[in-house]
Amino acid sequence: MRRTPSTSKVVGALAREPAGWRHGYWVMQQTGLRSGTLYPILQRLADEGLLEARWETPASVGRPVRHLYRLTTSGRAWARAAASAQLGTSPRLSVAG
Amino acid sequence: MIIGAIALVAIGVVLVARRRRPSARPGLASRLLVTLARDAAPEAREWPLAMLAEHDAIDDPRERDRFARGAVVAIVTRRPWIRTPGRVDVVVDGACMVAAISLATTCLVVYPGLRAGTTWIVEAVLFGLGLAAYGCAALVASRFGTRTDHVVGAAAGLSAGVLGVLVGLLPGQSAVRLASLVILLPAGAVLTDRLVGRSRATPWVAGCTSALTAGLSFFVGFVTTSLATSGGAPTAAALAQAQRSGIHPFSAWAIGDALGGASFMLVYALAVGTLIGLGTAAAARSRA
Repeated sequence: MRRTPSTSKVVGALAREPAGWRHGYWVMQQTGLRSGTLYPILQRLADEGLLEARWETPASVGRPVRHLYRLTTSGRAWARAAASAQLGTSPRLSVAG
Repeated sequence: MIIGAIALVAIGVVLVARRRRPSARPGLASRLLVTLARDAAPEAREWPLAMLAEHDAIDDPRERDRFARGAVVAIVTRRPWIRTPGRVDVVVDGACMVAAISLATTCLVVYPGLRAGTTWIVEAVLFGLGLAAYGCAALVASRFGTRTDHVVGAAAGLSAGVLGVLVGLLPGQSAVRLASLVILLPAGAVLTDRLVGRSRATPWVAGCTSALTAGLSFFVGFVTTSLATSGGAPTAAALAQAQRSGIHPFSAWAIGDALGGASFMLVYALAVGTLIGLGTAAAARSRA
């Protein structure tokens, strides 16, 4: 999976609380990405086995049942690698580290 | 000019009012998203449905519309293209496109009179762009519906090739009348698809794909016949037009005319045929 700034944002947002399941709209709000950018990334992450998706259980009548996402074990490893790489390439952080 | 200015101001006022007071009615993008999610190929329906569910959960109408616009783009541009139910269309349309380019090139090589001046370069570029647009439309359409929808659409579209051959053999007005039947093929595809595909049918897909294939296959059939018959037997009206154009010999003018007519049909069959196909599909859906 290619490490683009947008992909890193998505993975970073989901990695903040890796055990929690999140809606697509929540990820959009956290990353500032639009749906046209976010969903292809989510699909690629799922295709690569870095993301798992499931439908939420119906909670109330009239509310649409949505897709939920969270990182898989490989996804979390990918997120850690991405974070380390970012630390290495950021001059201020690498000096501090 | 004053009327035009008033109309522009009125349109501006309406647009500003709409921006300030978002309508509760779903916008075009939202309606398109509903259709795309509902009619996506069964094996590729989960993500479009996920986007639709997320869209439905957004309260702010403006935000919901913005989400829908992005989701529509994400759905129609999703890769991979080859594992789609409409690959039969992609293959048929691709073959027709290769044939169309080969035929157009042959016409230009065999009849150098068609390359006089610089207009032909502009026409050739427009032709290439048009075919590229055709290709993109075929790829997008291939993502929706079932395999049956696409087989029916491709079969109906290919029958336009037979019409093209007949049109190439007929003189004058009879040819024009026969050519106009091409736009009815999508309606036939929609009705056939409903019969064959039954409850699983997605008739608008059959209508759109047949309109795409019809324009291309008509082009191939008509230009092939025109080339084979060197433009056919000259009528008095055609001879007079050829003389006025200054293109010699007559066969060069006739082939140029056939290329122009076939190119026009590429646009006409697609635009009008698609509208008729969609109209028939909507009518069939409302009667169901």
